[in-house]
Amino acid sequence: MSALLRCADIGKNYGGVTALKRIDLTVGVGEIVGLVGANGAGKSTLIDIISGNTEPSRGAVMLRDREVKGRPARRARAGISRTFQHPQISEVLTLRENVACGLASTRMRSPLHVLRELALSALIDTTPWAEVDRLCESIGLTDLDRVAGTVSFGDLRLAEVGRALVQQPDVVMLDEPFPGVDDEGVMGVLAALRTLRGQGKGVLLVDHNVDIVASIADRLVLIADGEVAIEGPVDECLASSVFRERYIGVA
Amino acid sequence: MTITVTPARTDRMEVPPRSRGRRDTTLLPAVFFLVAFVALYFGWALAESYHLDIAMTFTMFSLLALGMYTPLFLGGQIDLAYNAYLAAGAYAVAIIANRTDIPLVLAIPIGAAVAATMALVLGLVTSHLTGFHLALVTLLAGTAAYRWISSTGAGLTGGASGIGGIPRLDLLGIEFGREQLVAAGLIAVWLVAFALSRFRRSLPGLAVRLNRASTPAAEVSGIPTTSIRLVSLAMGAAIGSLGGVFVALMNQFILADSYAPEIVFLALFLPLLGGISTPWGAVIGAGLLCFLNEASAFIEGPGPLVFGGASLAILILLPGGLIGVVALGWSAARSRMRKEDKL
Repeated sequence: MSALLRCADIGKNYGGVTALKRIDLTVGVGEIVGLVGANGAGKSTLIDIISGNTEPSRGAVMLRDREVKGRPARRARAGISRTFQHPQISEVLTLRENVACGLASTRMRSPLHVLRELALSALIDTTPWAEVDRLCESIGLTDLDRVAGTVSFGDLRLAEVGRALVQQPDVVMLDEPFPGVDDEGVMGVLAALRTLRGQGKGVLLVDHNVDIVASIADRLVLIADGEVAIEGPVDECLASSVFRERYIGVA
Repeated sequence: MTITVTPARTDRMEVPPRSRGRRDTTLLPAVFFLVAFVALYFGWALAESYHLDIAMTFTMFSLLALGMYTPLFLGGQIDLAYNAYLAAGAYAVAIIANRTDIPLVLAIPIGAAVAATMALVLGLVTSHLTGFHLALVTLLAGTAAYRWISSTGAGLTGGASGIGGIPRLDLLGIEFGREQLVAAGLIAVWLVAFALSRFRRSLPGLAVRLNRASTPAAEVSGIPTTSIRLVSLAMGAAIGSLGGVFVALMNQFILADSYAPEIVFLALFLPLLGGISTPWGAVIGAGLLCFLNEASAFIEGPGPLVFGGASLAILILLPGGLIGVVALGWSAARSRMRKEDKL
């Protein structure tokens, strides 16, 4: 399986504290990689580095064998989308509007595109709302006219997942997308991830619920103490004593 | 240890109801204000010459407040240099009319371009500032601009005595007298407010609003946050400059004192009074300002004090502004109608 996303020798130090020692990780074409690890292992830091929200101390991020650099917006336009562990949503926008913001990655790619959208905005509504609605329905997010500040935590997470998916990314990284989400939402997100896999996209899925991650991932990567402790097919990882010892703490 | 993979339950899954789509809520207010403006113009403004002056004041404050609406109330960027942008429009008219052979109508885009450039430069210089510091720096910029235009003597800006001798605008053989200018001003206010209400709901508008709530979220959505910030600042400044253009054309002279920084603080309150949930709130706020100003003259009270007291009362008692009251009333009426339907 060819690598879609590759993290090469990623390291991150905060002053004297080492968050990531050395991470080499790949996500293949049409592959779902489950990234697991205890609290503070460095999973979110790694996602922050890949998305450009944090600068690494060393190493490089490659998308389709090309190094991606710069701010998160640039990386989003290159094809990397993500959600946050704590949903980052505008509480005054509706759920539909929050999701639609992800369309900026394809429709506002350059200042010229921004000006075109701006000029058109006063005359006609060119936003593909039907597409946004269809995507939301597919992940179980309904009643889209609700203002985000009034909805449940689970729906906020789903809106953020929707915003990441509507970007039609090459690689999507979901940072703990399931806590607070009801069964219908979980099933919807999992179905959307399977669709992405079928389309040859890559998925990096972080969640503490190993059951859910294992139910969909093609491969697991366990991060412990700032480095990859074990990686491989799901069944092999789950059966491994290293996995049990370093993640669950049971030998 | 056994790890059991438990798929989520599927028995409770239902196909969600198809969304009704996104309703266009911009048309109803636009029609309402179109009717209101036509009634205001033909039923009141044309009745007395003095009313034309009040209507022009309304136009100027509406455009100033609408200019502030996008960067401040949608984007959360406080820019207090709007007196400078207003002056850019007015001085473009006066300087082009008196010192160049350029057609006067071109003062409108030139004033807007000058104001937008000033906002862009200020936006770039202050790109790392937020909140209190940004407010102070932009206030300083507005003050500096005012000092400059009022102290250059007989130079470019005419100093404190300003510039007179601005001829009537002649466009396609039509001379724009006071009545025509007020009509054009009201049309401009209507067009700008309508366009902003559409912008607010469009993708660039949503981008500005998401960036205000969470820059990381805007960034990972692919929104060019710096560009969108600068565009909204430039857009607001260009809109603000239109107010200066209309006042200069109406009065046929300009005075530096009309562009003192104090005017910004007055305009700053207008969207809050009307309600910030829509750009029409800025227009309502400007209307309220003109009404209270006139009402205070009738009751022979100190005008600013009456306006200040009324503003304070609205801000405390009606945090959603006057539009918020209408929205609450409408919502209550709808829920009552639904209850009656059920019965």
